[in-house]
Amino acid sequence: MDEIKSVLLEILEETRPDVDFEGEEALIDDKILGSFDIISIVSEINDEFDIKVKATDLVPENFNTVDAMCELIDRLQNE
Amino acid sequence: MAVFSLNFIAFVGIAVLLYYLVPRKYQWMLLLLFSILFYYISGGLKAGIFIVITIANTFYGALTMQRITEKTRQTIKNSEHPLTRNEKKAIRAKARDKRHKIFLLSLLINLGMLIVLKYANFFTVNVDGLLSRLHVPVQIPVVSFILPLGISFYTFQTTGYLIDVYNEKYDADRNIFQFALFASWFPQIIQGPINRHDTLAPDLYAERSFNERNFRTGIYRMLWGYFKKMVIAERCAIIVQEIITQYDAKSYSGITVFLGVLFYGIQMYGDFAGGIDIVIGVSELFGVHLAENFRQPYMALDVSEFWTRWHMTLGNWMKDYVFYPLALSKPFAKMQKNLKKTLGPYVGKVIPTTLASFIVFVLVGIWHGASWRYVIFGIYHATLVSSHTLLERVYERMRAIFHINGKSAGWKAFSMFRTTFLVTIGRYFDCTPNTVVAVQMLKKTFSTFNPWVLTDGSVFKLGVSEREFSILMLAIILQIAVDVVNERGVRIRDVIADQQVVFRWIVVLAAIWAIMIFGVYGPGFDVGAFMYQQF
Repeated sequence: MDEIKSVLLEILEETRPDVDFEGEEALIDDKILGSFDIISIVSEINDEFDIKVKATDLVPENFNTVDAMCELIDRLQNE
Repeated sequence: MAVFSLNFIAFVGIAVLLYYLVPRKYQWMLLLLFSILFYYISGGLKAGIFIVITIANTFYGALTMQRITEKTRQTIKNSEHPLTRNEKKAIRAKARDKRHKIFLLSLLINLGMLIVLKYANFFTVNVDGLLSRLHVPVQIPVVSFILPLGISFYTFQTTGYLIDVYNEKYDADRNIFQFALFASWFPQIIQGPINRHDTLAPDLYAERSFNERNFRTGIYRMLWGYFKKMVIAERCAIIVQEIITQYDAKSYSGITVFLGVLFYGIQMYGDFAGGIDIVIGVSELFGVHLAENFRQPYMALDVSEFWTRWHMTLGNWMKDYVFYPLALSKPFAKMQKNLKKTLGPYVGKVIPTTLASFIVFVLVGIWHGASWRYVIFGIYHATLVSSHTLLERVYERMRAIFHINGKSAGWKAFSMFRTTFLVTIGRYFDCTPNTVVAVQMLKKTFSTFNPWVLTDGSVFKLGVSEREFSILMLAIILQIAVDVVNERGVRIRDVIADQQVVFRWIVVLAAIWAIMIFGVYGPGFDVGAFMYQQF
C-alpha cells in the first residue's frame, strides 16, 4: 500500500503542483480537483498500475483523499 | 400552471394541508395524486402518453435488469454441484449480455422519444433546406409534435436512474407508482433541477410528521425566489424586450446593445434561479430536499467554472453520464496513447479530454433547444472551455511575465468581469430569434463606442423610468450581496430561522410587501412564464 501511495503522490503532484494532497480531506467535495484533473489522474494511474478505472468508479468517495484513491487502486489490482 | 401564479400557491397550500392530515402511509400517494393533477392542469395531458411510456419503460427496464442480477446470484448459489470458476464466469457473462441488451433498448426508447419529439422538426426543416439548395426536387414532409411538458427534465432524470441501476449503483425501484412520483414530482417537472434517484426517492416515499423548521426555511426560500422573479427578472425583461426587439428600428448600438444582453443574463438568472428557489422551497414544505442548481454563477473566475455553478444538475448529469464514460472509453484511451507517443505527454493528456468536453458542451447547447443558435451557443462555450484548458500553460507563463498574482483580489475581480463578459457574448445567441439577428447585434455592439450612454441618462429611456431603473439596481445589489454571503458558506435563511419570532415575521412580511410593491405585474403576467419551461 505504501508503494502505491508514493507512486500515486508523484502522479498527483505532477498533475496539480499547487495542491497539498496529504493535507486534504475533501478533494472533490471542496472542488479542489475538477473533472479534467480527474480524467488526467485516472489515465495516469491506469497506465502506471495497469488497472482500468471505470466511469462508475468516478465518485467523490473514491477521490476525496489520497488514501481513498489508494484503496481504489488496491481494489482494482486485486479484481 | 406557472409556479409564480396565485393558483400555484393555492395548489401548494391545499397539498401541504392534506399531506400532513392524511395517514402517513398514504402521504406519498397524495404527492403522486397532486403531481398528476398538476400535470393535467398545466396542460400536460395532451401529450401525457409520452411520460407514461417513459415511466413504464424505465421502471420495467431497470427492474428486469435487477431480476437478472438476482437470478444469476441465486443460480450460482443454489447450484446442485459446486461450479467451477469458468462455469460461474460463463453464467455471469450471459447475464451481463442480457442486461446490456435490455439497457440499450430502454435507453433507446427514452432518448429516442426525446430526440424525435424535440428535434424531428429541426431535422426535417434543415434537410429540406439543404435539398432545395442542392436543387434536388425532393422534399421530406416537415413533422412537428406537441412537446410533452417537462420532457427534457423527466427524460434525463429517469435515464440517469436507468444508467445507475445498470451500473449497479443502487437497486431498482419495486413500486411503479412510487417510481412515477419520482419521475413526475410536481414542483420540479417543469424546470428541474434534475435529481438522482438515490437522494430524491427516499425523501418522496418517506412517512413524516410536520417539521416547523423545514417549513419555515422552505417559505423563506420561496419568498426569495418570488423576489428574484417578480422584482428583478420581470423588470429586466422590459429593458431586454425594448433593446432586442427595437435595436434596428431605434438604432441602438454599442454599449446599449451590450447592456440589453447583459440584462438578459440577469433576467435569466433571476428567472431560472428564482424558479428553482421556489421549487426547492415548495419541496421543503413536504420535507423533500432537492439538489441545488446554482452556486453564485457570476462569481466564477472562468467559463468552465461558470458551468459548474450554473444549472449544476444538468452539468453534473452530463459529467457523470456523458463526459466521464466518453473520456474513459476505449477509443479515447487509444487516442490518448497515440498522441502521447507522437506529441508528448501534455498534448496526449489534454486533447482527448478537451474533445470529450467539446462534445458535452455542444450537447448542452442542443439540449436548450432545437435551433442553430443553440448549436452555436454550445460550440461557443465548448471553444471557450477547451481553449482555457489547452492554453492554461500559456496563461500561466503570461501571468509570470507580467508579474500578476493569480490569487490577488484584483485579479479575481478582473477574472469575474471577464467571465461575465464572455458569458454575455454567448447569450447573444440565446436571446435573439435566430443567428442572423445575433450576428447583426454583435456587429452593432462592436462597431460603436459609446460609453457615455451609461451617464447621460440614456439608460432611463430603455422602457423603464429612472425610478424603476433605480429599484432594479437596488434589487440587483441586494442579489449580489446575498450571493457574496452565500459564497462565504452562510445560509441566510438558517440565520433568519434562528431569530426571535417577531424578527422572523418582520422579515416575512417585508419580503411579501417588497414582492407586491416592487414586483412587475404587467400585461405580460400570463405569458412571462418561467423561461426554462420551454425546455
